[in-house]
Amino acid sequence: MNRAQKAAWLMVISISTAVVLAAIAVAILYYIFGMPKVAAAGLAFLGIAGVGGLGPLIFKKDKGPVTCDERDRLINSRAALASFSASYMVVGLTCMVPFFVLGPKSSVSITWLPFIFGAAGLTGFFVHSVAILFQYGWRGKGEKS
Amino acid sequence: MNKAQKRTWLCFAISLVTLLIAAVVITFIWVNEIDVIDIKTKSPAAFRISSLILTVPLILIVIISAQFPRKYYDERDKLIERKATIIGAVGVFIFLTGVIFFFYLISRVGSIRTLLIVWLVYLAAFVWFFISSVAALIQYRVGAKKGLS
Repeated sequence: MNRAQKAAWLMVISISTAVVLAAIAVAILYYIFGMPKVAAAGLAFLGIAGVGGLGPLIFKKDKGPVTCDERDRLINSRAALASFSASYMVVGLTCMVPFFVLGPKSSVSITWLPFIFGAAGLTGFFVHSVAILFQYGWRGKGEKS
Repeated sequence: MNKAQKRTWLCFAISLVTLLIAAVVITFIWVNEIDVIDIKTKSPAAFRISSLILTVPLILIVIISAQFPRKYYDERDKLIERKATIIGAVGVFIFLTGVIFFFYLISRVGSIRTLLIVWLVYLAAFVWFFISSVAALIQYRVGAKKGLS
């Protein structure tokens, strides 16, 4: 398993853990307190996703003269393309939800807009990692980091 | 000029014209303090027609994509397109972040119409087309200077 695969696995695990824990926390807090604002505190668990960003620091670069070849670059650019497409799709869909649910005459608070970008960012990183793992293979096939 | 370059030039022209028209319309609405929802209430037909006109550039881009399919692309065209699309995506997220920051600064009531958010996403798509077209054209230009055309 090479460095990119290890970093991608770390990202997938940290984002998945963060989302699952945040969902559970929000559900429990909402069940206990019944207030959306208190329940929203459960979203703090999303901070765990930040651990995924430490991948490049945790997994050191290859000591050899060639750290990545053309195939690695192609895989990375394809994954980046997939992640940006997924992010934009999330932005598009979440922006259309208030339009169709509340109607064109209604308004939403501007404070919600950064949350849309947060969701898009998480989706982007997750899809990027999944795309890398999908292209390399989910398990190591002899690649060395 | 190959088919990929022709397609890029056409996408560039369409997105540029669309963004320029959008800039003029937004400035007009902004300066005259026109409420778009009022137009919808007072003249639903005019609103529907203008909404249909909004879709024309997107339809043109779809037609161009059908006219210049990617099966005619060589490896270099694919590489340039991929890089340009990623640059465009980075640009569009910078654009969206800038617009939201602008909304924060100017908002008096702290809210935004849902219709405007949908239009923002639509406009962002053309910003993506525009930036990626420019990025692709620059790469073709650089390639031509190096004698790769």
